[in-house]
Amino acid sequence: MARKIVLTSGKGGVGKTSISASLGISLANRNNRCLIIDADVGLNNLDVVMGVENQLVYDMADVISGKCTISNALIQDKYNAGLYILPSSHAFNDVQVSAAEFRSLIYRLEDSFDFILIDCPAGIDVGFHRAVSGADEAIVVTTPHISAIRDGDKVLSMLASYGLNSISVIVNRVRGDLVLQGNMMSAEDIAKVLRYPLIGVVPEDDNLTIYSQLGRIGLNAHQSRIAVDLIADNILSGKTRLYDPTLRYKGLIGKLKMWLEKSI
Amino acid sequence: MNNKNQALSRLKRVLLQDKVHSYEGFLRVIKGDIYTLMSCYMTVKEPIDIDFDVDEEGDCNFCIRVRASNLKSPKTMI
Ligand SMILES: Nc1ncnc2c1ncn2[C@@H]1O[C@H](COP(=O)(O)OP(=O)(O)OP(=O)(O)O)[C@@H](O)[C@H]1O
Ligand SMILES: [Mg+2]
Repeated sequence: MARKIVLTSGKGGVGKTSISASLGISLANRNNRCLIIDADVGLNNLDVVMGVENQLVYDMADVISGKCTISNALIQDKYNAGLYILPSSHAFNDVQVSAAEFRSLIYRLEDSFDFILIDCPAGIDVGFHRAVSGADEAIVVTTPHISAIRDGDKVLSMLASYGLNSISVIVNRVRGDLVLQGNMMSAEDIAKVLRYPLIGVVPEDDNLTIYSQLGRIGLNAHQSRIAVDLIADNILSGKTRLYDPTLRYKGLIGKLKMWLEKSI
Repeated sequence: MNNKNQALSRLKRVLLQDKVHSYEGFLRVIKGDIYTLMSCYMTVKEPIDIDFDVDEEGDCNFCIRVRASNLKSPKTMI
């Protein structure tokens, strides 16, 4: 039976979709059958980030309304046979997919996969409730910015009432150079304030933006890829090995890099 | 204090404020109650100074400073 993990945040634009896609790829690369569900009904993006938008015929709403079978709607990843995407509708009215319908859809899928990742919409209203009610684990994604952490804190206190098996935090877009200079909170500092375990640290990485806009998020060995691979390992092993975004700015070469990046 | 530490203490304050709804209002209510309580035992001379912070376990550490005179002996209170 699949482990069902929702990636949520409260605040929009912090990297839920990017990390759901990357994490799905990492888990599938480790021989797990993995499904990523775009639960952002009406504002779907996962298909574009994964580069499968031209294969989209049916979506989650079509399955729920009985217009097609589940296998009609699932899209297999181009590069990894164990990875599937269930797109959400771009046209479907948000409130028409109820939490109960979403949950029963997940029950129908859970025996076919090792992992079901649910890419939650921003906000804490009906879309949040629907996405979380289908999960038994939650990962709250935040960035090192106070507004994102504040929203993350609210989401964490809401999640506490869902009876989930585990709740953890990913801090995304961490700038190692700023952390070293004492100009940005570290992921560890943030997790301590939020009082939830840190399961991952993802650095600010231009390549993530570049390759996700090309729909090839999983194809390149960039820094965020390494960070997300560590998250996949943590999910699988229950251990916590974290990416250190400051590492590439340490030592003589690191300091030179930091100086160069600052002066360009 | 470097920028990171300033951001951290600001973050803690913002999260606390969210929990008690209005940080200033919360302190005002507590101050009022402390004033009433302490006035039973002494004459409180200056505005009560109260501050609090959250430690790593999530517990609040309160720091309350009160200047007072005319301590009433327990005898006179009975
Ligand atoms: N670690 C990172 N480094 C650089 N850019 C990033 C990183 N993570 C995400 N981004 C960029 O931030 C933008 C928002 O990311 P994404 O769409 O994944 O966020 P989201 O939380 O899913 O947003 P929404 O709440 O709208 O669904 C994208 O352009 C993405 O490429
Ligand atoms: Mg998204």
